[in-house]
Amino acid sequence: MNSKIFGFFNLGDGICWWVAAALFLVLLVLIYYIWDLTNRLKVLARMNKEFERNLEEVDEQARLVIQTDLEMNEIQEKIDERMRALLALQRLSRIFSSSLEKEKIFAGFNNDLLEEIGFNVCILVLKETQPRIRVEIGLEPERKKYLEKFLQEKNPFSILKQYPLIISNQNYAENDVNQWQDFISNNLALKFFLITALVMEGNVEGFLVLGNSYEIEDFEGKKEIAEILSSQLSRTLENINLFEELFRTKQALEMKVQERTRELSQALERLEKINKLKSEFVSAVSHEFRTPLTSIKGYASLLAKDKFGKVSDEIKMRLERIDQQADILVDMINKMLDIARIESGRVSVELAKDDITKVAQEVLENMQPQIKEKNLHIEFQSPPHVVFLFDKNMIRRVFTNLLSNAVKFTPSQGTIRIIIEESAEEVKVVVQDSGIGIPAEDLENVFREFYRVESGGSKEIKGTGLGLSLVKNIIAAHKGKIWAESQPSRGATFIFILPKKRQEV
Amino acid sequence: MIFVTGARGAPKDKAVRTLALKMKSAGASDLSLCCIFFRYTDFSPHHLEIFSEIVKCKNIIGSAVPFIYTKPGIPQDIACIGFDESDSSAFFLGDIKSSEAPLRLESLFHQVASRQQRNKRGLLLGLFEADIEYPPSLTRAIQRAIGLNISFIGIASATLVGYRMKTGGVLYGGQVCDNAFAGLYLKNIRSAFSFASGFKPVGRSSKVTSYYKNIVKSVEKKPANLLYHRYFGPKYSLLNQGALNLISTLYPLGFRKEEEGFIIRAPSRIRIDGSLEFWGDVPSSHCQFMISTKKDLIDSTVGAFKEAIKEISSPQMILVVDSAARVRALGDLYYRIFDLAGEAVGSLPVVSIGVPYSMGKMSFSWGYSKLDILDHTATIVVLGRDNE
Repeated sequence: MNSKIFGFFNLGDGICWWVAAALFLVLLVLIYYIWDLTNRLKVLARMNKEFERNLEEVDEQARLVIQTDLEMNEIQEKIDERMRALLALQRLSRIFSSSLEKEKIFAGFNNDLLEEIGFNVCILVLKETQPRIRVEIGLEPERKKYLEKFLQEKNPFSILKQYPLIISNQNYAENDVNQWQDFISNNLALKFFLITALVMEGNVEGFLVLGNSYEIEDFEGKKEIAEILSSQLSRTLENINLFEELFRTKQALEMKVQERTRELSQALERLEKINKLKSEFVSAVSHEFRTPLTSIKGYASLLAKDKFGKVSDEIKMRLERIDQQADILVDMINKMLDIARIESGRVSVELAKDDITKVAQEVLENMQPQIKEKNLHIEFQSPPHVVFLFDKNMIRRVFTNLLSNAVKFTPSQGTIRIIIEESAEEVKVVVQDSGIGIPAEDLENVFREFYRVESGGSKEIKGTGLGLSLVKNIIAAHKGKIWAESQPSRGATFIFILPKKRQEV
Repeated sequence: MIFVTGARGAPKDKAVRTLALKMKSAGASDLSLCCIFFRYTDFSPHHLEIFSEIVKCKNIIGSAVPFIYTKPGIPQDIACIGFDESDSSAFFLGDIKSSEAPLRLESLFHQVASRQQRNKRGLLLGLFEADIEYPPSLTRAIQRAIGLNISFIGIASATLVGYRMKTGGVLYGGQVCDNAFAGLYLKNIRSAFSFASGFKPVGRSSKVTSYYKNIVKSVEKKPANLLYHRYFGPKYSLLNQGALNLISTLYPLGFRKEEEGFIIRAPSRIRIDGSLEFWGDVPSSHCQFMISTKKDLIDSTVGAFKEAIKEISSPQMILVVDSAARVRALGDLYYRIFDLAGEAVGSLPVVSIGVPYSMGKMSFSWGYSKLDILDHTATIVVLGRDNE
């Protein structure tokens, strides 16, 4: 056995060395592999570390992206919130501007709108005769009672004059403001609130409490919105107050106007009645005067003609005076009768086509003795024929009156100008003298009955004071118009216009 | 026939009257079912009376939603979808917060379905208040109740006031009811669904180390809220504990699932211990931060419009139940979706509503087999007539 062993040893001595060498080689390879693996593991660990670092970098970049995105979204949110609030404010403004009734304005505040503006509590208090809560949103009945009690006990309006904006998270030196802040925070359970004064015509007439029962962040935005809202509300309420005042004044004025109009129409009615009575009376009396006047004139004439026996020259002279005065009286009565008839509408204008130039020339012709006596210069400007519809007799009386006035008031060697102009619509007649003229203050009155200008030399010139009144009545009856123009000592001008086209007068 | 109208304006009475008159002039004077969406929460039975004076309808359901658009992208204050389906039904479940609600819902729908001779097709449209305690329980109840063949789209009723969600009741039987579920079961309506989000993952994937149902307690063994802290940095304060503001909803989390890709969940609340609460259950243990651009939001929706419309041979209308966060993020650009999808949509009436979250994802035509809560997702439902 030993020999076998030794034999084997002997035999395998070379093999043994080979095995040992192989084992050594394997060991070397293993060592190499271990070394390589270790190296690879190190590389892997390094790569892993690198990967982790890269991942961390990616994650860091992701964080940056998210934070930037977050900031942008936050800004966007704020812009959106502000936009929403402004749009809601715009809607409120539309309500404010569309009504002049306070109740409608107050009804414009509602939950949805308020929440869009960014608040969930709104209280509007107006001073009025006593402080009154006019809008209450998000205010529980129990808390409303506290507020009413507070309003009765304190005078918040005087504080607001000094501090028109009170914010819950700001400190104020004034004790009253702090008390008020505490009251609103504790009793109305608000986490944030603003109190803004409603200033109308320089006085604090109310206040608006806008608040949130939950935490908020954008204080500046809320402040801005509250200020815009309270300013708009103040202006609206101020306008409504002004409108109401204006409306009340207008109503009072309207009532006064109505009363005065009624009084005036009653007075006018009375005047018309009196005028009619006067016209009737004048007409009747004048008519009654004419018969005895005719008798007086007749008997005076017979006496002057010695029909009742011879009378002395002196008596004849007196009788002629009676006759002349009777003529004046008859003329006056005729004019009064005419005025009365025209005024009362008892005489209608008889329109016929005629030539007004011819009428004026005829009147001038009849007045030639007086014109010559005073050596007056007459200027007559007119188209050869001016033919239209008018009452010839009446217009003749107009010319007679105007021209006889002109002759009377124009001194010797003066000038009387008659101008007739024609257009498609009307005829204009101007009678101008170079006499003493009419004072400006009398121009309006010269057409009144029995009105006589008492200034200058007019007093000495006799007249009835009815001629121009009659003229005005005739022109009015023709639907025309007449007026006088004058400058003292430079003569008077009478202008009348008659319409040409008309169917009836 | 399906009738669609929208109206806007204040006062609300006037808007409701306008809506009803538009329905009537479109030929809808006697309807079987109506679904009305209000852009405000204070709708009331009075509004229903105004509507019913003009349009007669046997069953009207309704809810508040933050955004309403009708084609061509016009913001509306009120919109109505009317059906003249004489053999379809509406049903109602009160107190959905109760633990018995799922069972009652199941039995209620079985009654409705048996009246319909257990029809195996159709569409169920459900309206419910958004602030229910654990929405997935309701989702599961609906799943059990309707089985696998009936399509479902559920709409969470609420409006957004600034950053805050304001829940509104559900309109049913002439009343506005709190904590309620109102359903419209449209037996002969065929529907096709498609979905769009537009959100993409950003940053590194994180392991959810502890979660239960709809609550993520920790991510990478740290409180879950620190994930938001990591990405928001100093802006973390924007996430108030309690109700989240709208900005936070623009950055949801995507939970990776092998077969479905990312399922998006936005936190509905951050709990005091730092855990995140979501509307729906947490679907997987890997999450990633999500971000979107306006272009991505628009493009994904337009694509979904085009996909969905292909599935129905005789479409009658398109209902888009979109995420309020998506609509809000797009703002005035939202109308671009209607412009860009114009060719695919053609003259079909479209009603798009933005809601805080919705329930859906089950359609026989699309082969989905599970109902889910849908965050940050537009669900496009093309409605058509079943001619078979």
